[in-house]
Amino acid sequence: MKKLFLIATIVLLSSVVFAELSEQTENEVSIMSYENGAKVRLLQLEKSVTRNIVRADAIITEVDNMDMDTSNLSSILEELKLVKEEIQNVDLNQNKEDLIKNFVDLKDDAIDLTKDFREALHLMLTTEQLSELKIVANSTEINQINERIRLAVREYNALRLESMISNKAATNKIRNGEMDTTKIKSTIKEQIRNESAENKDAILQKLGKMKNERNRFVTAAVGKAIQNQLERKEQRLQNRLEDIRSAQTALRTRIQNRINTVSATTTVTLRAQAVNSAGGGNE
Amino acid sequence: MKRIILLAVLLSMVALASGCVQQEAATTTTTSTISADNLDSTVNELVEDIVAEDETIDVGEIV
Repeated sequence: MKKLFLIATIVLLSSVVFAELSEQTENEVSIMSYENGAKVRLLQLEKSVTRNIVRADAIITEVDNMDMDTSNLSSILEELKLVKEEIQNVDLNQNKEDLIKNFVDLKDDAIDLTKDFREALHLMLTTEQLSELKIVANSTEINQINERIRLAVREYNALRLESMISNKAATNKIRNGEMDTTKIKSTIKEQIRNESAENKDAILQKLGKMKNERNRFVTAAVGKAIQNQLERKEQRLQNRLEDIRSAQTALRTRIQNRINTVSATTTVTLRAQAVNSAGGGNE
Repeated sequence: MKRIILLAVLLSMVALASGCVQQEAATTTTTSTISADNLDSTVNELVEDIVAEDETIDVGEIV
């Protein structure tokens, strides 16, 4: 038994020590070292979570109509909604390393909950039932987030171009949504290619410094983001539990107050009726 | 005999100087090529940070 416990502890510890971010997440956080990069990534994450919330909501209604118990699915959905709220409440003014930690943690939660929902659903429905589910493709809310993402990405790209070359016309076009990524990239490359040899040296100095600072920052921030991930997760879950308890207490108090009001009104009405009846009897 | 030695010394100095010039030219060419390559790779790496408006974060599918 002791040996088993020891092996389990070693496995757990090694998984923590060798924890790393997926290549995809590392690429995503790399732009968070730049101005507006965190805003773009958090909005994109909010959109993905919202999309899954909208879909899960519709699926629960369908499953409910099949006379099945949807309480487990609903509880996962409720937590996914809490994750969305937390994404919306991330303070963009905090330091970039903390922003990266927030992004990594909340993305991780969103992935876990989506997986939990999917697995729970697959246990409840047959393959045929699953294939018949209507998947909601869009919603007003998703469209609104799309619009915010568009504006944030344009601003971010304009700032990126400005940091590399000076081209007012191009930055204006980016902000107006008149340049796609391919065009932006080729504009930057072409303008640098056409610079004089002397200017190219200065540009190389500037961009080389920018690249090194970015890489150093990302390596350090990713290193910090993967440290204590489990402890941070435990803390987040505790906070959510506390929020639910507070919300339940507030709801209980509210309902109790309403009961008191209704009860008082009923008493007054009954007394009035009794008085009226007595008065009527006297007449 | 002295003249021959002097001539030989002079010739070797000329050869050495010419070698140095060639070496210098080669070094300059290499440096500028490295700079150009560095600039290209740096620019290529940095422009990859440009983001597409329809880029998404994958958190998995609900079904």
